[in-house]
Amino acid sequence: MFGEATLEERRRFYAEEWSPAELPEFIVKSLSMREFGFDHSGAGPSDRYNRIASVAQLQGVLVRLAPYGVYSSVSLYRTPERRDGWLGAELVFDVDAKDLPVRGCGCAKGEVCELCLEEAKQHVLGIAEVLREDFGLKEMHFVYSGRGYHLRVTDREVLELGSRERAEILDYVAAGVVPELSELSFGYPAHFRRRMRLLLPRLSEAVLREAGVPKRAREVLLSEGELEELVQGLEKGTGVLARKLKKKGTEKLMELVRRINAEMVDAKVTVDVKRILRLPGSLHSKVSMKCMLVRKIESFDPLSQAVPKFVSERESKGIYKREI
Amino acid sequence: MLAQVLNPLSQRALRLVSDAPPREAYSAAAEIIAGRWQRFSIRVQVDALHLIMRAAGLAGESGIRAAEEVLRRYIERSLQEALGELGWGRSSFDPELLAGLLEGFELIRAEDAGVGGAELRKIGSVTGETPEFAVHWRLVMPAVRRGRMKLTSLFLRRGYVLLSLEQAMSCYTELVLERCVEFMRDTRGEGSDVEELAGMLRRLGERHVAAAVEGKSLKPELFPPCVKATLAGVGSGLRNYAITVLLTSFISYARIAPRNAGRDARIADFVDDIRVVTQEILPVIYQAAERCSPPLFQDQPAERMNINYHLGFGLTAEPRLEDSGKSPWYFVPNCEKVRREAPALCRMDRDCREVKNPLSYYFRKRYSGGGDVR
Ligand SMILES: [Zn+2]
Repeated sequence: MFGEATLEERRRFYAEEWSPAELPEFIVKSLSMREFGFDHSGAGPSDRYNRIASVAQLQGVLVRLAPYGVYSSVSLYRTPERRDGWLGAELVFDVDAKDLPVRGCGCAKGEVCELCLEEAKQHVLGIAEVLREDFGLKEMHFVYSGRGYHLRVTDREVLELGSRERAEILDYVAAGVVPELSELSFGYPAHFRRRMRLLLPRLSEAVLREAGVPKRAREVLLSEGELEELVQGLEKGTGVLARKLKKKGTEKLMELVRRINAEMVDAKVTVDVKRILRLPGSLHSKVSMKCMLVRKIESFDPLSQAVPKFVSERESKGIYKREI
Repeated sequence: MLAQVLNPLSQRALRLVSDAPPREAYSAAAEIIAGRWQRFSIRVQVDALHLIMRAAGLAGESGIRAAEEVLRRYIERSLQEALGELGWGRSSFDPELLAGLLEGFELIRAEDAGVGGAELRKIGSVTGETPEFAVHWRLVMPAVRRGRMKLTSLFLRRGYVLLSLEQAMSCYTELVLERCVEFMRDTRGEGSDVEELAGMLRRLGERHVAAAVEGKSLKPELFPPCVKATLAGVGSGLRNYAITVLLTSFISYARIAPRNAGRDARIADFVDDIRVVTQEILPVIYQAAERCSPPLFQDQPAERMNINYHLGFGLTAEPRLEDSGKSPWYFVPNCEKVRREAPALCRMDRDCREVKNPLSYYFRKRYSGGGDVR
């Protein structure tokens, strides 16, 4: 977003801007049980299997090495330096704004703008709501990843889940499975319908056609009045779909929504308990933004709150340079 | 107190199990393995079930699988009887009494999970059965893990899952079985007294494997030596290649036998019922995975998804025809590649010399002379 950070900028960031207060409580209290990974060159976190015993030690490493990227495991281990003695893992959902399958803005795949970031945020909020309402989970931490959001859940019930159950929970919260038709006002079918209501107004003619939605159904979906009725009708149940889109239209549309939903969240991150994630508080050097814990997510604005000082100073320096 | 053992590892059962089981318990165990239902005293039941579990440990993975089926039948039957004794279906039935029985399985009334009667009846009208109970979602995870239920087909509310009696009993059974399987894996070979029972379980296990492979148009006797070796289970260094790469591609192509399959062939182009995958192809692969030492999914549960990936369904726990093509449907590696990647698997016989790919070995025998030509 702001261009790559130089080694000098990274040094200044960790020496002057970073403080232990940037580390979230849920990381601090299990710091020595996490595996740390460092990216020294920008080629990825190849320096793995590290144990960091204390916040002071971490600070020492950050200031001394000013790494390109810092990561810590979602798992806790008895001996993190050997990734041995697994004690459990957070349940994680990763929504990367650069990979959003449908967007309201004009960004192409791989690009990110303010609107994409907002969309990623809304999506993560939706996931958190399902985890709270349906799964009764409470300990949820939102992290701005530098280009999207991580939702990290630390409730005791999720820690020991294996990959398969994580995939099942992901299917549920992401609405990645077509539900059996039903008119229930809660549970999975209602959740899937909520996702549909959000998505329908965003689907373009091209996307619908590619998904095999028949012509007549496409016309309904692209007409403002009909769409409005459809979205309202979905609040109560799926009966309205069958009426307006017929059988084939309904099936193709549901399948399209399911596929988009599944692509919104990076499944590999949720399923793989050996993952390391960007450390909240650290610098995302490629885009020169802070990866950070977000306390008030509703009002969080990454473009004002996650920008390190050196980025704004860059601009003034640029002007200065040009002047002389 | 109930006259049945619902969970051989419950506190109550563990207090009753004896160090030196009476002769009667051995014959009871044999009856239970044979699938014959009889009334035994509670002590004999507990001892018999523990003997079966010890024997399974001795018999190895296929014995454990067989014992699991034996135990499942036994638990289901015991539950039915217990429900009858509690007055299920009569007005005197008290769900709290039931909850008291199912140690470690905290069952509450659906109403107590904060869902109104109207909603419950609505679920009933959709699913055909009104949920009467609720448990924390954690307790349905064994059933989900073991592929018996899907979260998205269940009704969750504030951490609770609403369940009909039948679903609740199934969740309970899977929970107990999961613990029993763990117990069996930790209880390997204690003495010769259970040798005979172990033999019974082994034979039962072999019959299960044969039933899964045969009659489904696969002819395992015509498989090449490398695939036969894989089916028998392999050691830790070979497991991933043998199961996920070789066996997954071999069994799927051998079963589906796609005509003129190009590089980008998808299973959905040749098959229109996903059960060909879930009930015919995957069970063969899973059973071979279980026979590995250590069993492949025990320390690498994500391999299940990787297998689906190799079948072309993408990285998923649940293959669906619509997803076919999300990843490539990997073709069977050539013999040369197998020899290079997993030399220990390649045990060439006469017919191997004629072919360059394990699948050709099978197809030649199956469709020209060796097998039944049709
Ligand atoms: Zn954008």
